[in-house]
Amino acid sequence: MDKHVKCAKCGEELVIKKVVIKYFEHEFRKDVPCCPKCGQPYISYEFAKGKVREAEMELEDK
Amino acid sequence: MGWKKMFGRKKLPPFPRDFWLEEMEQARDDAAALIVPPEYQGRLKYLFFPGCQLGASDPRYPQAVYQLLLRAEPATAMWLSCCGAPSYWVGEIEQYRSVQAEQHQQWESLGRPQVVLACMSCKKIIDYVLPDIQPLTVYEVLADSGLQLPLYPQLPELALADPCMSRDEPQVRQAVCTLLERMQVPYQILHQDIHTLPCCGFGGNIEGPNLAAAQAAAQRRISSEERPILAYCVNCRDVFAGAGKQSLHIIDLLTGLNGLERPTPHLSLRRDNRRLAKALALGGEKEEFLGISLEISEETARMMDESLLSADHIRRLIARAEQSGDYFIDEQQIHIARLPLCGVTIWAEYRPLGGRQYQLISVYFHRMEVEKTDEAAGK
Repeated sequence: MDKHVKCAKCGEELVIKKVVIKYFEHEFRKDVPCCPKCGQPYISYEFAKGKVREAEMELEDK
Repeated sequence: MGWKKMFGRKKLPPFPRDFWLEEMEQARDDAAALIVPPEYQGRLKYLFFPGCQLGASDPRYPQAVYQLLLRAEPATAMWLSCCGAPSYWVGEIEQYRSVQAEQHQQWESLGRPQVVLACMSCKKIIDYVLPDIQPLTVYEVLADSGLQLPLYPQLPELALADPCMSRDEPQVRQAVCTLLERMQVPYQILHQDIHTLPCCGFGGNIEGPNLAAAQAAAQRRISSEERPILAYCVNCRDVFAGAGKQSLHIIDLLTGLNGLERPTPHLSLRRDNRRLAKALALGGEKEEFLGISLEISEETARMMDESLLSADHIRRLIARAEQSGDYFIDEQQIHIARLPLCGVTIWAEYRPLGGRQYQLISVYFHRMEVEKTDEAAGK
C-alpha cells in the first residue's frame, strides 16, 4: 500500500484481505487493503487508474 | 434502440449517459426560476427561455440578455429551466415528452406569451414537439427592436459559425447578421450552405461516451480557420474555446460581458454556474448544494471534466462520508471516501477546512463493484 491509511470509523490500520470484484456478469476475488474490523475495502487512486481500469477495459472489449 | 438494449443487458456502463440527465434535472430543479414582472402578470408579451446551457457557461448571460429584452419590451418574463434535449439525445423519450408537457402547461398558465429562445437546440425541440408555441429567438427579437447597440468597428474580422441546429433556419442567421451589421462588427460566414451546417461536437452529448470523436468534430470545424470565431450557440462557443480558439458569443458583443479570450467553463462546475445564474436573476445569494463549499483547483476540475464528474457528486460524497463517519484517513489528515453512483464508484480525497468547507485534493472512479467478503469483515 502506497499510503498509510486508517479506517476513520474503526480507527484501525488497513490490512490486505480478499474482496469480491464484480463487473457485469464477471466476478473474481482479489487482495485489497481493508479495515480489519468493518471490512471496508480501500481502492487507491493508483490501483483504480492502473490495474482496475485495465481489467475493466479488457472485459468491456469482450 | 441498440444502446438501450446494451445498457439493459449491462453490456455498457451507464455513467456518461446519466451525467447529462442529471444536468437536465438540475437545470429543472434547484437551478430553475421563473421571474415575472408583477405589473405584467397575466398579460406577458414575451417569455424568455435561455435554456440550460446559457447560465451554465456564464452565470451572467441569462440576466444580461433578460435586461436587454426588458428594454425592448417590459412585458417580458424569464424562465430558467431546460427544454429536455438531453433526455431526447439519450433516447429517454417518455421523460422527454413529460418535460415538454410540463413546459407546455407552464406556457399556457402564463397566458401563452411569445416564447423567446437563446439556444437553437431548444428551438428544434420545441418546433418539433410543441409546434403551437412557435418560438422566436432572442436574435430575431433584438434585430427587430430599435434598441441602441454598442459598436465594434475596431474588432478583427470574425468568422461567424452557425450552429448545426440552425440548419434550414435562414431567418435566425439573417437576424444575427442584422445585429452584427448594426454593431458594425467585421465578419464573414464560416459555412455558407445553411442546409449542411456541421456540428461543433457538442450535439448528442457524445463527449461522454467518445471524447475523441467530440474533439475531432471541433477540430474539423475550426482547424483551418485563422480568424476568431463568433458563435450564437453557447455550446459551440465553449467547444471552440476549449479547442484553444479565440471565441465570442454574440451575447458578449450585445452586452459587453466577455472578450475573445474567455476559456471554456469547466463541465464539472456548470451546476454551480446555473445556481449562480438563478441567484443573479432573483437578486439573492447563491446557495451551495447540501450546504457544502468546495475549493477545487484548475487541475482537479479538469480531471473531473474528463471523467464527467460534477462538483455536486463530490458534495454528495462528502455529505455521506462525514455524516456516517464512513471514510478513510491518511497521515496528513486527508479524508478518503467513496460514493456509489449510477453503476460506478467515485472516490475523493479531500481536506476539511472547518465548518462545511472542504478542499478537494483528487477524484477518481472505477466501474467494477468491490464488495467486502465475510473474511474481509473479520467474521
